[in-house]
Amino acid sequence: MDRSGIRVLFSLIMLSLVLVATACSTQSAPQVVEKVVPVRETVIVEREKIVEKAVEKQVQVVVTATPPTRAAPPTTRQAGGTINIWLPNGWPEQSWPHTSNWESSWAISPMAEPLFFVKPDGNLEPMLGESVTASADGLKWTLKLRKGVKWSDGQPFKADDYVFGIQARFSPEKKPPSELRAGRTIKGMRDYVDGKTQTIEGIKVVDEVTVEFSLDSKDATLRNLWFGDTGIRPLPKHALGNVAFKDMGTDKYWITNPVGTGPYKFVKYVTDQYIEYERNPQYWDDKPRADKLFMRISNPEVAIVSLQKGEIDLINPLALTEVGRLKSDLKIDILEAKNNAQWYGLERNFFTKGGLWRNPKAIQGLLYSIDRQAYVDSILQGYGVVRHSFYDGTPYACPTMKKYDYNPEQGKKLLEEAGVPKDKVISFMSWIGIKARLDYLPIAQEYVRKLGYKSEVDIIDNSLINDYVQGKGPRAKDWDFHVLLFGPGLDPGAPESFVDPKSTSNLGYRSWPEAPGADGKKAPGWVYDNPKMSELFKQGREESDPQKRTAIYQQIDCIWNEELPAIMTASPSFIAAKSTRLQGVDWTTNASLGQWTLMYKPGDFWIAK
Amino acid sequence: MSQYFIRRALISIPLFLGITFIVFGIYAMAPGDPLVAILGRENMALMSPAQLQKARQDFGLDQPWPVRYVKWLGQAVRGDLGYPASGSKSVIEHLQERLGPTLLLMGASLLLAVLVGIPMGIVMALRQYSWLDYALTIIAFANLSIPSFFVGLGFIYIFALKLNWLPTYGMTTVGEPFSLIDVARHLVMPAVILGLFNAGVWARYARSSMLEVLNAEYVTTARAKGLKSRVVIIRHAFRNALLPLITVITQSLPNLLGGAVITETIFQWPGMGMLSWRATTTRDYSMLMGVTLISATMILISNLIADLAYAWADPRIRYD
Repeated sequence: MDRSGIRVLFSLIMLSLVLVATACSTQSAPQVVEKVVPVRETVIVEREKIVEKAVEKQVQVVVTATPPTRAAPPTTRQAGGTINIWLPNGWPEQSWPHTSNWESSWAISPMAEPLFFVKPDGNLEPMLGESVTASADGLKWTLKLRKGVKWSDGQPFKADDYVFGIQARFSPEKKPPSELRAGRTIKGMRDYVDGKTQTIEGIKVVDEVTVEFSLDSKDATLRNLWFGDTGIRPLPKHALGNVAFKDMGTDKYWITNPVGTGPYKFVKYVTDQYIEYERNPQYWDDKPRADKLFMRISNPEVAIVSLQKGEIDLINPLALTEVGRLKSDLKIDILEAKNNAQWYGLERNFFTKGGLWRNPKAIQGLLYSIDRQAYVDSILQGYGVVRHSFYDGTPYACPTMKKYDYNPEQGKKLLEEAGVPKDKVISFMSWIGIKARLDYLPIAQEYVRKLGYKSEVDIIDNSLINDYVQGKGPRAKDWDFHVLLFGPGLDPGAPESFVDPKSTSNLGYRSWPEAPGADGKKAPGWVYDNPKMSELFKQGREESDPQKRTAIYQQIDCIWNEELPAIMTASPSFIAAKSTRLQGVDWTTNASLGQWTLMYKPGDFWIAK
Repeated sequence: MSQYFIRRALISIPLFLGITFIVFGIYAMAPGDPLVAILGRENMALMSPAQLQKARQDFGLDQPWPVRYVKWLGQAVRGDLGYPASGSKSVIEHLQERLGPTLLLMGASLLLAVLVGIPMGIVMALRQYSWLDYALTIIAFANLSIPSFFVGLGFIYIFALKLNWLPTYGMTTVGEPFSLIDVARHLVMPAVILGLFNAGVWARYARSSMLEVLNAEYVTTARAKGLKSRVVIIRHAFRNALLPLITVITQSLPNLLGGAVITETIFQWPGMGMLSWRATTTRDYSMLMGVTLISATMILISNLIADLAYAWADPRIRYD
């Protein structure tokens, strides 16, 4: 090898060594400090007699690493500074009435506020709304809006703006049209959604701060689902009134000067880089807050580096795999909120092998057979809870709940009693997405194998999942269990449309899991039918007294706990991470009811200087 | 030459139509319902059949794909590529927005690759089987075989987090006024990663191409004539070794506008690669067709550039 070659090679090796050494140098240098510490010292008392005694003496102690200490957070709220919040996957949908992905809702949160936040205790916290009350017969609801609220352009916020928001959201001209979840019971709502009327008969603006809702039938779910934080966003009629509903999704208004009532107002959006907001001087609540707020777009790995570097203050959600590593970083706080709104669950195929899994015994057997606590401890790293019934962990949980803790003998016995054949290949499948959800598949597979059954796992692309569950397309087959995220959400009445075949909701439009019947028509996906449960759901929907309502859903939960129409595994906690300089984040409220897609009161966030 | 140009341009039209037709057909026939990706399965479950049908109409999914292709083509020739599945900007606006950052990143990486890769290949050929050849071969293989996401994250960890020499990601510093120096600092890591990958590939091509030429009789003749070694290498050997390199480099030109999906995604570089990645994951056919249009145009142009470069490098090639 000639000289120049050796020089090049040597330089490269040295550069690599320097880089590796730099990358690995996380240990702080040893320090020498003066301390008074107890030491054992040999003292010559007499020439012939040597003894040891304990003394206290000032000596030099070499401390190999400074013990980590976490600074106490400041308590006094400070104004000014800049807050940086992570936004994964960009801002795909800028139009407020069109947001169907969580990133877009998260991005809108600093500018738009809901009428009320639904708190973990079930109470409503007024934001743009002041109060909402139902009449004695439950057929009329009155909404009072907060007085004195202004849009960020200085125009007054009125009841008309709220109704305009409803009309925009459900206009049949809107592209694509919106699904109708809560609000189906509002008089004339269905006709408006279907394009038969120009206005909604049951919604009346009484004055600038009052709106009345007339219902076709009693509907207690309206309180949380319609008026709550996932409900309708008011829109500034003065700014958007001239935009046709059909063009609203593509109007430049949303990326040039959207007007909101939130604590921050829009400044600019740099595609796939960041959204810039600044303090809204018109905001109704004059708490001190940051001068600027940025939503910074990046992939999760880079976002974590940015958090460590101090460029990002809040990451939501944080992958469980990162928690252990970040916990030891003194500049980062890990935030955990118990999740009572959702759980990973199993949707069964009601049609497989002639309805094998319709038998509750078979499902109970399956639950006993899989060590779900081990799943929580290992995959969820303890950040989760095993669930045994639909409302487990909420006030609506069955008071006499049966627990399906790991018991393989009991599981095997029940599966045999239910007639699950020994040669049955039990399949678990899911679509690509959250890793912790997908990790349940091989775990379930392994436990089922332990019982002597064969088992297989399939992971499907999101856009293929409908074909798959309906037995269409090249990859379709007779699947058994579909792992998904499910749960009661904001209101115990929310699952009614999914569960109850007698529901007045548009259940008939559901698209899963379907298999054509003998007549060639689609069979309803959910064949579970318990008249008692249907009756209780109806009662729960009509009962506006919270205590009576709770008792009704507890009864539902007891039936659920026994018959298991949908199968619960475990609730993963909502995990986020923030910089220690970011204060005022109430993560428990933000996430406990599943509203992690919305920012809870970003106006309360502040930067400790 | 002008006749050649006209002929090539005319040939490009059916070629272009063929590319877009086939790509459109593949997208349309891919299994899965694009509406699921647009609306979400749960939302679809709560929509009435009439609403679902209307949504299909809104996105033009209710007609057979050849009909949809003809409609798309009709609009495209009028400069209207439609709107993506979501968002307030049209496809054209998205493409315009991405063009600058993509050209900047891919141009910088291409330049780096040429400046590093080709000299590296020449040195390797001139010092064949020496320690230098082996060392540079290892480096070249390392460049092209280590996945870019791994190198990207490693670079971010070392140069952005530990050494704090460079910004972590993005194209500009958030909240700071625009400056060229700032953009250049953001450009370093993604451009170096992409450039080194290409440099590794091109170095290998340059080495084998040079080795072939160095053993040719005309090089021996040039040496026998007493020409200086530098003149022999540059004027006689390198120019003749260029032909295969021209093919390889011009084949990379479509990437100039196509972008680099992984590197752009890691570094949040707002280029064409990230746009196509997002469009693919959301089954956004309007956007995918827009990106295809750009790529197809670039492929045709780069083929033309390759032909012209052959003529420049090799005087024996004439297109008259």
